Amino acid sequence: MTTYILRRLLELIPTMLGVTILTFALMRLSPGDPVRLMLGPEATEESITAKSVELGYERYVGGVPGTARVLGIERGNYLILHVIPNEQTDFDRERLIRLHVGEAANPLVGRFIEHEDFPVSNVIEARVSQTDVYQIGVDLDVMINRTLVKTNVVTQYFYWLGGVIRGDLGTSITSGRPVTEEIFRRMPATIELALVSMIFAILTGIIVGVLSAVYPRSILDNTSRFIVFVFLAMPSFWLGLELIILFSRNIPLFPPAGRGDPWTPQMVSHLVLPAITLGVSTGAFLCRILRSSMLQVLSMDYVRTARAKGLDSNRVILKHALKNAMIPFVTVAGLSTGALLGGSVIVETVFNWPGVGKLMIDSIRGRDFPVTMGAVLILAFIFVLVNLLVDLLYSVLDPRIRLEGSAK
Amino acid sequence: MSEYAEFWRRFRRNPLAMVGLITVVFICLTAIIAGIFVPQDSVITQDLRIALNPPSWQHPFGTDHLGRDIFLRVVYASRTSLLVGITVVAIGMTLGTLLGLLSGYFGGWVDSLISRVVDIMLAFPFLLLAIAVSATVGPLMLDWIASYGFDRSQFSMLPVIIALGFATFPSYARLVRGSVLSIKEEQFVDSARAIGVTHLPIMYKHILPNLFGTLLVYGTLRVSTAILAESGLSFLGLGALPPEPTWGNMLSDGREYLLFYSWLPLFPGLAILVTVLGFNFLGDGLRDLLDPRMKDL
Amino acid sequence: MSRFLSVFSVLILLPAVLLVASCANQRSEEHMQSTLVFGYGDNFLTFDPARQIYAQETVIMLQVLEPLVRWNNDLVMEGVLATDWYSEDGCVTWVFELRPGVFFHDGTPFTADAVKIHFDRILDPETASTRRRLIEDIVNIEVVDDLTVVFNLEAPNCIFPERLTSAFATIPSPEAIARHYHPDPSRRLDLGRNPVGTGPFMLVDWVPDVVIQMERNPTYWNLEEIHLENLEFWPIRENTTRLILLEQGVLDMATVSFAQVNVAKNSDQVSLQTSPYLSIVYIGFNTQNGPFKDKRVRQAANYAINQEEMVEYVFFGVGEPANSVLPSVLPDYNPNVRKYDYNPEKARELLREAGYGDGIQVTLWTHELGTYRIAADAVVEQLRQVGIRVDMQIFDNAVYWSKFEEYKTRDGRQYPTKEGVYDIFIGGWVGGEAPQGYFEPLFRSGSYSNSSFYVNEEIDTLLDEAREQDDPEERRKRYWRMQEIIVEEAPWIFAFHGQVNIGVRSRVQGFQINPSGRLFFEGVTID
Repeated sequence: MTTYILRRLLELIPTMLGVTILTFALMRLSPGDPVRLMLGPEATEESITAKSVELGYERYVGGVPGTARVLGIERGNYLILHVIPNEQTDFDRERLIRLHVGEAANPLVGRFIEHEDFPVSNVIEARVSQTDVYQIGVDLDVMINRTLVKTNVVTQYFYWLGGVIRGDLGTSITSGRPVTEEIFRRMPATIELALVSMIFAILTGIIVGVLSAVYPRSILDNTSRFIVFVFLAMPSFWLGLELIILFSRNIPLFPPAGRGDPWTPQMVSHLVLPAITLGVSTGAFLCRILRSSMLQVLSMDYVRTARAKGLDSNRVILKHALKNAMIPFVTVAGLSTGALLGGSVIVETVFNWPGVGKLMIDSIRGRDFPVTMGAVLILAFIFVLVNLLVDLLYSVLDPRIRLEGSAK
Repeated sequence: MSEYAEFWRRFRRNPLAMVGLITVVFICLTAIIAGIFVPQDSVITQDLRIALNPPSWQHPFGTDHLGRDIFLRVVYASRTSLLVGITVVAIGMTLGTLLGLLSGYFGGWVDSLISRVVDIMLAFPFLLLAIAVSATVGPLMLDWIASYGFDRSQFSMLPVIIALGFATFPSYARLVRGSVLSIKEEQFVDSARAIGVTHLPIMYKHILPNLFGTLLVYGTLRVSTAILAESGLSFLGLGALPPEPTWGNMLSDGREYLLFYSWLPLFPGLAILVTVLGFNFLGDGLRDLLDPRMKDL
Repeated sequence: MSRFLSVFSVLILLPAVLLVASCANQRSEEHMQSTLVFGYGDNFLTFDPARQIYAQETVIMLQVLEPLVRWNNDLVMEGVLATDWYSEDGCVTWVFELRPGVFFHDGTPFTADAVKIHFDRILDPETASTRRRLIEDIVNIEVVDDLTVVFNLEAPNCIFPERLTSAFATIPSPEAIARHYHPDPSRRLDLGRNPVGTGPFMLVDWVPDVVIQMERNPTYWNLEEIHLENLEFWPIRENTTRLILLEQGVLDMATVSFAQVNVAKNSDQVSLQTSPYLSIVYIGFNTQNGPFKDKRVRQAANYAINQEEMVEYVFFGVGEPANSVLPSVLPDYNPNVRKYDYNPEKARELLREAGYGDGIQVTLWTHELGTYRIAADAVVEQLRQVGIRVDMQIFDNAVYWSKFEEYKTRDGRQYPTKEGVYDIFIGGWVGGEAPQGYFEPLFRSGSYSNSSFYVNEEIDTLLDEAREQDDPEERRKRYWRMQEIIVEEAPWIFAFHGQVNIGVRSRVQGFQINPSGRLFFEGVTID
């Protein structure tokens, strides 16, 4: 079992890498220069350069090493540095430099003060730790007179991937905050909704599925099948809005929007409508699966035998039929997580649910591509992990699968 | 001939499938009739003075917020919505079948490579991938088309179609690969190969026809997925651009008026509902007949 | 079976363990009783005055941060953080006497230094504020004493104080600015998220997408006017949902979409307060490239649009069809400008004259939401009727305005040549109470918001003259002349002036609507 889990975990790596490649490709295909979008129309060339370097779109090469002493700090975001090259070069004069410290730039990059006409490439770069730099009198190791070059797409990808592995998905254009922070702040809301929707879907699926399999072609079966079909056929945002009007406005039972405080009665009442909207089509789907697989099992010999032997029919249904019908049910339930995560994008928007899906839609509307792609990436990761979990559960349910798997 | 007759006889006995078939035929006829008799002019011409009139004899579905006849627009939009549904399936199916066929038939590194790509694509929730593609690649594609001097609004469905097609093909690939693996084991493939038939004819003459049933069933069901997904994209502001009406963007635009002018979203919503129901019923019916193995899908 | 149960419970419980309690703070019933909840529909992004762009941001910002001067509900300018302001040398240097005894929320006293630090930051090119150009004529800012600050301008500008009513001119605590640029990045506090001002309310918590929570500032300089203990802003994007929440009393006040005004009017617990909105929705042309370079084509388009019908039937009579740039409630509105009555025949004739008898194909940019989109839909169709076929491109609010930027040059002397530039766009402008707030940004050559690339030296001269005139009557002459020229030249279709609609529940008393859409809670009480 352990080796099986390990093997499955290892298999995740290429998939995850592929997911990052596709995400990165989409991000690079998106229109507009990301740096300019991030910094706004009035950004200076210097801050654009600094940001491009920070994001790995451009980098510095060459230059000579030197030392810079911090002479002063102006308004917190300008350092006055006195720069001396370490060795004799054609760049031997000492210079004063006024270094603008961007919102979060490391390395720091600046131009020489007394030569306004220097090209941007005539820069000094200081790679500093965050604490020692801002004290007057500190000496920093710097590189002087570096050249700026554009990086190629592959380098950019690996630079970005490095960030992803460190948990750094960049900075949101609209809020200026780290994307990871923005996403994880909203994660509990999304998990809460997806989870409750899943539970709702599973319960509906089992109850309606079993009943209609036990009494096939009855009124119950036919009605529930029809309702199931209708729910599957309604666009979820429409269903959501109609539910709001019906159960929030006309019959005020549940709040129409927002998320309740966790672990309070409001949490439950806030969850009802969005969870139904999100879960109902999955529930409908699961119910169909369970019905057909149970019908299959119920028609099998051993169940008929068990019934014939006079075993209580309820127990037969539960013990034998349901158990065997469960395997496809669990698989489909696992696969439906993807539908739930995708659907949450719409349902969260309808119900003003402060989750990752809504964040993603707002970010698409705001052309905040780092956030969009961060959300896509993380939701895809979750989906992959859930699928793995389902596979593992599956192998617990049915050991034959595992054997088959390892024999491959 | 008798094979078809037998098929038809059994099909007719399945009431849901018949309802589905009639609905689908009806929708397709509507689309064709709309294409011939409803000029685009009549659905984009506005008469602001009759904006938001409730359903009446003159306007059976009422008028929308710009005084356009909702009935005509719903009828006209059947073209675009069906177009989306069918082209998305066609793109996904063609691409997916091709890859699945190669992967399942040749095995080895071809299989590993394709399966890996398919796995990666399937790692994205379907709708999420469609959203990401249409948000990023969509505008680029339209800019590209416009740069060749084409009218952007004529191609406004394209990003949606490409995004959905791209997002669906992996599931076809996986499905086809599985079926090909089992068909490959059959006697007739072996014998064909034994008498020296090359790969391409085997795939074309022996394997593809055996996939037909599965693909027909699955494709029929996926038409409804595509139509639903299109409305979802419209809701998120990523759907087809006006003035071209689709049920999705009519429903989405109409939601502003849901409280007090409920007919605006109602009729396009019902059109989606009926169409999706029709395709689902038809798909289910076909499945029962053609491919009992697929019951679980 | 037990195995199934266990497997199932794992399936369900495992993610439940992952589900941690979120940071949403719990508020008690009593707390909500003393809280006014306001629902709004837009995206609120920042409290940083240097970054603020949208009108809705202004509304929320002004609760926390205050400007030196403001327009009150009756369109009269009054002092907020300034008690007096004057210029003794013909409007070149402006002296502002500051209100004594005012403290920022962090306890820092409000002084002239705070004013200087704030405006210096806006003016610093490194700050990259989009608002810098509105006060570019400041040469320097002098601190005379703690409560006197002097703005030295490069040229006479008699309406300089009007500029300082904007949201970018609200003054944050110098300590907060220092923390924004704290040398140690780990201890920086973003000003946009952690605003510290002098306003009647202090930011308590801001959960993005959920709530912006504020409480009364106990040291507010005008505390006797502020009766509300707590104030919350809830972002709710779907108009329908927002209205339902207002009907149910979850929200005490909310912005109401035009499509729902009729109904809010009929409800007994919700009253609708409306005011003409000091703003304009317009359809701008690219006056430098393409067919709309020709004045006749622009006028033709003006004749093709039926503003009256649009306002009456599409926008439920909410708003006023526009004849000119300024809303008619402003004293400087000129009623005697050329009128473009709806006349498609004349439009076709003008098009023929301009050599476009066979029609033209143009692109239109609009943004996605509400009024703009619907106005765009209507405009596209009406233009089509006279042979102007429009290809519509829809953008989001957040990027829409920055989209224009890449096509402009800063001096306005060079014109866009870039491929793919728009021919028509839908614009909206909340110009406020001062005519300068419309003409200067929208029509001066090369101005940031002059997205129709309109260049007219006479307008530039008139604007300069108006600035230099201390006499309101003399200024009015210039504004009237500008309106005549602009309407005749038709760089826009003047579509309509909107209306502020705010739904107010009966438990809220004493609220007075402001024509700039701003919310002043002075004197407001709740049961």
